[in-house]
Amino acid sequence: MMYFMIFLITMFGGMSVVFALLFGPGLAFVIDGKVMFIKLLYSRLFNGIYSPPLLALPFFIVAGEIMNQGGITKNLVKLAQAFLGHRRGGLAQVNIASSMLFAGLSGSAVADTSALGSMLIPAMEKNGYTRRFAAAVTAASSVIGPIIPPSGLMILYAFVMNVSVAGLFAAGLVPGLAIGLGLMALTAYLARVRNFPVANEPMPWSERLRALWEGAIPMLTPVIMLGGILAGIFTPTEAAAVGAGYALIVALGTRQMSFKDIPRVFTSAAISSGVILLLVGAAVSFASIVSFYQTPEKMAKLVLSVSENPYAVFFMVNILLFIVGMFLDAGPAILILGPILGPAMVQVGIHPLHFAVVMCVNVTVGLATPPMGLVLFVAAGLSRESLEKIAIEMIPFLLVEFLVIFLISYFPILTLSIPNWLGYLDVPAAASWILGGVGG
Amino acid sequence: MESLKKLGLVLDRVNDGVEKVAVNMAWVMLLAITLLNIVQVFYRYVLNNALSWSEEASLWMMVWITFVIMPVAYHKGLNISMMFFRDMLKKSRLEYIIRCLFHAIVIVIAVICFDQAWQMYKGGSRIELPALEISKAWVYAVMPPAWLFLILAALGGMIRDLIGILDPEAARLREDAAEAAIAGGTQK
Repeated sequence: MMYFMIFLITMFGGMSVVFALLFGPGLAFVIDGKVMFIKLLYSRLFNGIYSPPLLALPFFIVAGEIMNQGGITKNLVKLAQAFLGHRRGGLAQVNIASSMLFAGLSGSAVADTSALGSMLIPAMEKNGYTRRFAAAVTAASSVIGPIIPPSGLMILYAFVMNVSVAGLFAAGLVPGLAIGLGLMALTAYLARVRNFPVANEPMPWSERLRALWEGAIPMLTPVIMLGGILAGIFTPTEAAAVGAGYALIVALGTRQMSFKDIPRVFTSAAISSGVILLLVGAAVSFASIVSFYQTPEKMAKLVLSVSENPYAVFFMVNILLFIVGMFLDAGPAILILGPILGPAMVQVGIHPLHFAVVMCVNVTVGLATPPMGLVLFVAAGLSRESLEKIAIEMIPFLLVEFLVIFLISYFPILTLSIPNWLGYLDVPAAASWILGGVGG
Repeated sequence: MESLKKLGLVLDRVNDGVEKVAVNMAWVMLLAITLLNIVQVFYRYVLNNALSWSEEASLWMMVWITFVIMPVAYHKGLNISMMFFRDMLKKSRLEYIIRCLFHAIVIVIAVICFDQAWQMYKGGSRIELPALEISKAWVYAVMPPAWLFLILAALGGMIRDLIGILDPEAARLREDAAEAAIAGGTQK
């Protein structure tokens, strides 16, 4: 485990995760006198990038980048406002509903916070909400982004852990909707207790239908992507490319983007893609060293020495993931811990898809928790409110999210039913205990 | 100190030049593979005649995008890092020493990777991509220069931080001003 210690020290010291992933195993090989294996590290790094299933990722980033253009966000907010704005606490509900709609387009919590927050935090403040509450709702709801499919985070997990992208997308639907609806229910309660304002008078149905039409055009992107994959029409790569093409046509056709914007949008997408793809390559290289040193087996032994009860094991792993999520971004957390914990959890008897979705949800919620929650930083920056005040205001919202993590951990029927109906579930014998109510 | 600053400026200029070329190459390639894959879907589903070479070409360009962006991301500090503990050091001399050490480690990694990439490039000329019918060395060709440019980017960072070790206060003020300028630009 020396490689892991070196990796942790350099990463916590502030070295870029991608280089810490290469340095840990590399130095361990030198110390162990296994210098010839350094070649293996580099070839795995290259093969990790030169991989057909990974082609979906840059297209997915392009689609998200195009959809983050201002006008499309405005259409989504308008749609949510048409149906929810007249309720007590209407704008807070609009914020959460917009995050759920936005999740289907961008799949990124940070993009969600910055796009919706810049529009809705000032609007909520003007409407009579405190700035800290507006920021807290924005941050708490934006974690839905990487959970409701399509999701870049899930593509990463599926690639590194070799599980079905489509299956994982299908498994993410219920947890994403559960978090969204849970937050809306909590907001409705808070609206009554704190006497939140209404945003607008009920809109006439003609206006609602217009908002629905304007919102429906961009909302077809996730329908095309997700529908195409789940129906078996497209491969994930083709679906992502078609989704990106459709998003580009919509953005250009509705003049939310001009041809002059193409270099800027594609430059931003290319930089994000390059950074993530190199990280994936380094993580694949690291994962091969993880199995070289038989770390998952050792981890499983360690976990089982504490308890053999899968419920207790899942509880401990959830705590670990949550702590990691508090400090580390969701993508690297998945790439580093997936190969270590995934196989260990399967040995304990938990279905790979079940653990995959719980891990994705857990580390995503970590994005909104102090001290290192990226989403929290963005919300604090946009609202110019202190991190501590937003964090305190977020506590009830985080409790809802913890409740969802608890439910999806201990009731696998919630996550595995849809993939099972769609035929993405191959149930290993070891997992049959937990799937009694689903696939059995 | 003065000669260090001059060397730092020269390296910054080189790294900025690399960034301009690299970023333009990357976005053009990304646009190209996006369009190529949309065309591929059209050929496969509408014309019932899949393009056999589209996947190889896309992978080729995806590798190029990754490695072309690598030195740019390093130069710009865009790679994901955990800054929680380092932020506690508040740009003190100790932080500049740690940063220098990490740049040195990255240079060592880049030198080793350059050697590996060069071996792969040389070996790649014996492998042919079946659909594109070109040597795989074309895919590998981006890697040796990318690692070289990463060395330059890390050297640039190392010199900046060496100056920080010698005069932490001045370096901190300069960095704070640069961060404020970036934050101002973002808000606009």
